[in-house]
Amino acid sequence: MQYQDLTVFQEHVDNLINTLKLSSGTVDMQPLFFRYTLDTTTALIFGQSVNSLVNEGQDSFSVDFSEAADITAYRGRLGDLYWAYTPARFSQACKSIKIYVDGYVQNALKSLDLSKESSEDSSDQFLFIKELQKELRDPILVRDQLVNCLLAGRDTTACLMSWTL
Amino acid sequence: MLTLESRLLVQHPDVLDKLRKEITKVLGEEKNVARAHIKAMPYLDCVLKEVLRLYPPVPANLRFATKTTTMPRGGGADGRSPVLIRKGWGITYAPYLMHRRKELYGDDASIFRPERWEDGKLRSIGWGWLPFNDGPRVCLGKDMALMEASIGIARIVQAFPGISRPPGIVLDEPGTEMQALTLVLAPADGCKVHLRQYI
Repeated sequence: MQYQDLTVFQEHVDNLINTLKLSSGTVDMQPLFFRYTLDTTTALIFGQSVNSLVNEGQDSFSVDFSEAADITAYRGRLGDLYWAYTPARFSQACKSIKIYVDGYVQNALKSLDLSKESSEDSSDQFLFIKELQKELRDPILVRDQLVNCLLAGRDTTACLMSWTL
Repeated sequence: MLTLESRLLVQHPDVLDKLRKEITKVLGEEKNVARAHIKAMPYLDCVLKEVLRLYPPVPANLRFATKTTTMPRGGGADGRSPVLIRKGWGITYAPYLMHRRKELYGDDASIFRPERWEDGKLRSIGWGWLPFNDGPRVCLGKDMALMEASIGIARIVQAFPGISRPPGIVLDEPGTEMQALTLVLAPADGCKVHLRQYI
């Protein structure tokens, strides 16, 4: 991925520090760490960050994502009976996430088509999605892989930072 | 209410002080953290290793056997005989528990002590430290996560010299606090710290 020189983190860690500077007294860092890792991970895998640290309160995507992840964890523990726990808000959250991520996949595929026509790769902004599409050749699978990477990239590091500080 | 409301660094001012000295020495006022900076902060690496030991973000995991096999120990009345694992069976394992075993980490295994990683004695710990798994399926984001957390923690410590434990909270031994487990392991009551003013 395109983070090797670490510049991709700079903007988002600046946003994190600026948000904290607006606070004083006792602050719960945990929700901010989840926004920080959501912002960096979406920047890396979508090619464009959801910037949830800046757009506080408008990030319905991160609310849906948390909801879907929590319910998925319960379903996982039910094993083969996972289908028995499917609240309406789960289906709704999953639907919204799919629509949202599909948007990025479509943008990347358009960019891929354009670069084929002009026989040069116009931009590497959507590099990760493009590489997934070359490998998988199925936009639905690409989307599902992106959602998987999003969970792997967001929750884990946010937990690590929450326990640390 | 006697809940633990802050986390390892603000609960261990000695560790935070030592880390702050390292960060000040390497970063100074620099806001643009590069890989070279992080490589020059070995104590930060020890701190993160120690947090990942006590609180691996994915505390338990599952693998399925691709063929019938045995595990060397754990069977029989005394647990010393092999155990049969049939093809398709799932095996759950818990790095959270393994990371707290005294046979591996000594009598102070449940204590937060980043120095245990400093003297090289744990160099041979191998898969006894397994927050990212290992082998062909090692976590793809291992380096990204370590860089991202290192940058985040270093910048916060740098920006807030007065960061401390919120007043009036009670210290608990790691592992006895409230935890929230979904797919990952999070503190149940957040990560509350007292920021004071920044410089």
